[in-house]
Amino acid sequence: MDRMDYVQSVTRTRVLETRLLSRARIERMVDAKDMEEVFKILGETEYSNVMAGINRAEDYEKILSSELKRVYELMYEMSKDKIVVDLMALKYDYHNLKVLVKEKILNQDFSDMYTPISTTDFNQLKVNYLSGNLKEIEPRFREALEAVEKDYDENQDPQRIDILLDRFYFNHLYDLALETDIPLFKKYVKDLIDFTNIKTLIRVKKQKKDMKFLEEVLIQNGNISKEELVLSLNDPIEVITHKYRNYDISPEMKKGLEIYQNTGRLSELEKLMDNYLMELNKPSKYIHFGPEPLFSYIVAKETEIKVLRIIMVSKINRLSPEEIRERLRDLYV
Amino acid sequence: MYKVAVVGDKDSILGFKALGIDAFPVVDKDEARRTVDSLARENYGIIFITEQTASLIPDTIERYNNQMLPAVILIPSNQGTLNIGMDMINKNIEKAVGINIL
Repeated sequence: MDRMDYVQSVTRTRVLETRLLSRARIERMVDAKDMEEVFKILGETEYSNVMAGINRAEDYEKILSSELKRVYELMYEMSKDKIVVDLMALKYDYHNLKVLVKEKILNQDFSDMYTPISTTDFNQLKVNYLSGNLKEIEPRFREALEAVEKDYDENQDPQRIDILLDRFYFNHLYDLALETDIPLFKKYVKDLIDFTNIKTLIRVKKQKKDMKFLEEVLIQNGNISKEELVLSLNDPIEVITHKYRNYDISPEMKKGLEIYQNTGRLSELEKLMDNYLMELNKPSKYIHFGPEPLFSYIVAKETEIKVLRIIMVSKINRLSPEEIRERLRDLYV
Repeated sequence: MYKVAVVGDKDSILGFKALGIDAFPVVDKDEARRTVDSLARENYGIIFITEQTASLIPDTIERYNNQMLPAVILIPSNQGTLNIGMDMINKNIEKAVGINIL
């Protein structure tokens, strides 16, 4: 990857960054008295384009998904190497694959559950898959689909569709990051795997499943080795935080797990994870030659959309501004 | 076999899907009325509806209360209860037993 290829797209990204929602605007939305006011504030931003034709507060999801789609289309257009955007878009592919497999097994139509974002021509993939023309599908997706189908035939367990596809997703993502050979991308993916594994560990503990199950659902290639995590299944939380105290994610993990112990909720750990991953991306603001700013812009945009979703869902369900603030994520700007 | 449905605002009722109950999110009065009416025609035996939504369409609810099927049952939403559902149960008990034994 040639860093000089990104001179122009970084400049464009800098302009786009100025249009990200500021903390002050978000605060105004949090304090808004109802959805109408939130919409009014949002109408002053770059979201105004995708808001046309949306009148009902409950249709907010349409605004957010068309904005996300717009961002991905724009970034694919701007990025010299597709893979930079693929890193973030890949999760949508695997979401779609899950829907696709379930659609085929149940023989029902779930078309409203697909996301329009994809690293490939997903409609073509769907046609090929449903017509049994697996040869035409990209090798990685084909491999995943074949493995999942085979496993379902053997076990008839729908949960395993998700487990397997998630595993294929993280392995695929890890390989993409290695391929780029950009330190930020590799670190992002590795830390993401660590966080995911810790969350998995806690959930499996809570559900009192056995080690065999834990081994199935943990992801490889994190900084914390999978083998070590499997052995932590029966450790109390204090021992877990102590055992894994020397990793980059440790401060957030420690704090998140302490709150989990007091409240029984993992949502705080998820919030700390988002904040950590955002923090990781902030140095991209000072990179002028390279793909990092584009990647970070997508991360920033996804976080922004997540924040907006939290605000809007909270407004519809009449949560107080304090309760909304507790749940908000840090922003890029 | 009769089916079970739940009607109300999306955030209150989506969880019912995990139980195998068909969830039908509605927003306003007209949508609520249309949904309940069409469910009644489509072989649904029990329709759960949030009190908040039900309070928008009292006539429709009343109409189905006078029929055998479907059974329209009011449940609280995530905004808490308005006590309409409990009042209805109390009324039905009074009708059946003669006094309120709850």
